[in-house]
Amino acid sequence: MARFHPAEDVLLDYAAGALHVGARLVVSTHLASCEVCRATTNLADAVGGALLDDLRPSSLSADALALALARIERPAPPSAPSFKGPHDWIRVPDEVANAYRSRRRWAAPGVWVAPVTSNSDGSRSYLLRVGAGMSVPLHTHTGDEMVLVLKGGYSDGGRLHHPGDFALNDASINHNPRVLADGECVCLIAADDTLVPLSWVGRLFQPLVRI
Amino acid sequence: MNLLISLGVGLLTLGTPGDARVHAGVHYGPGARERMDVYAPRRTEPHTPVVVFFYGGSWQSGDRSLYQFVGRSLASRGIVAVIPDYRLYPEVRYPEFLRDGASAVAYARLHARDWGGDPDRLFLAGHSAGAYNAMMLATDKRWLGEVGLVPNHDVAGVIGLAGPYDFLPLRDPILKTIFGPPDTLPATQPIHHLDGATPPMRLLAGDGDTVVDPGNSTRMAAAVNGQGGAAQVKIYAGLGHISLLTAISGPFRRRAPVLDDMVSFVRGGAPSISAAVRPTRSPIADTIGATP
Repeated sequence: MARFHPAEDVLLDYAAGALHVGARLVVSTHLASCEVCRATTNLADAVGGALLDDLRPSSLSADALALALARIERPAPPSAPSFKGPHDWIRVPDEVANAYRSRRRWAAPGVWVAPVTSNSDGSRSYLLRVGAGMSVPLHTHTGDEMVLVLKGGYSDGGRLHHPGDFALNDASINHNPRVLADGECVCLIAADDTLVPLSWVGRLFQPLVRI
Repeated sequence: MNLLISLGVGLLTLGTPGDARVHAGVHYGPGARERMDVYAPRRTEPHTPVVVFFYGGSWQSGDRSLYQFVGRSLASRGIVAVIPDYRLYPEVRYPEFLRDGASAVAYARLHARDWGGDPDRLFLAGHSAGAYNAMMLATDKRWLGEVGLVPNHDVAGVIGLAGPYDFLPLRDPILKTIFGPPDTLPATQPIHHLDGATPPMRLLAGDGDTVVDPGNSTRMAAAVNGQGGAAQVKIYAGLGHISLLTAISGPFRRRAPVLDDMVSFVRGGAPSISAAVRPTRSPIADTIGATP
């Protein structure tokens, strides 16, 4: 049972089809293993984005047709485990399983990445594996980054994140998450960052690796 | 689709005793959407209150089957809960969903005794767009008037959850279509129908609501009280548009006393002042219990 969940705003955006494809994948993967968020999201879907937006001048209300299309294209959360990897993975959708099987590449010792989705607006999602006990050097983010633990766990700012746990990191966050000592950690990450190429994920670990 | 959705919110009905007598799919009108589910407590008292609850959905979506948790939660507190469907856009536009609501209210009042309820203790409630429907029926006398009822005589009170009561100008093109031409828009707003003779109301909202500005509730309450009416408002810290609603259900009830605050209003008590309300939010928190 996950302890860290997407905020209601994220679930509303998901229900309204307002998330980019990678973020949608991260949220739907969380929903597949979280009954609580699934109930909230299904209700959000029924209540609608409401668009009564004196508080919310977002792009949600900008184009009703795009919104309607996005709703149609939004994939339903996977209802059954389509892939169970090694021990203690949470269930993941097929496209994540496929990326795991065929697109892993080592980015640094102990670190591999596997691209899952990429979008013309620069947003993408990928799997990131970091070896037991390794930490990611202090860094921040230029855009929003969603992280979902699929296997293993990490600590970040005194919080322990386990399979199913969700985190949203943005430019206000300065952190150096550390993988727990008892095993590798694999996360599904969605970033709307248009600036940082995926290869930098590996480079981020270089200083650590050289120590 | 509805079955899937129902299963998807099944969690919400957990923790609520299944001791309601359910009258499912009662026709209050001829159409497929003019049906209601009624949740009656197995034990009723001489003056068991009746709450007609309108769900939300931007007047474009919604299904009464999703709101079993609301019906069962109210019934578990000794209240007859009536949850009607009503016609939606694009099948209808304003004010037809209000006419459906009025028909549902008239039917509930007529049949309250069949379910063990007291027709003279009939309350209207709703969430989001449904709170708007409830509020319009209680403030614009025309709609209940068409079915022979008078709001401040036949409606004992109104409970609004995260409702829009004062939301002009419209920006969303679909809402513009639903509510009609600009010159008639002011008449679609509950806040423009106050005359000091509205039924008492309790308006609940979450300060984390990014869909319907909680300011709708505070502005409405201030306007009602300014006209000599009786409106209470309570803003829960940390609740959003959906979590305000799910807090009614058993698994989420610890988050905030939304159900308690609905029940206490129906039973004539004061709202519970709990840790869920930040005392530091004085401009809002101060209004709690400040009015009868």
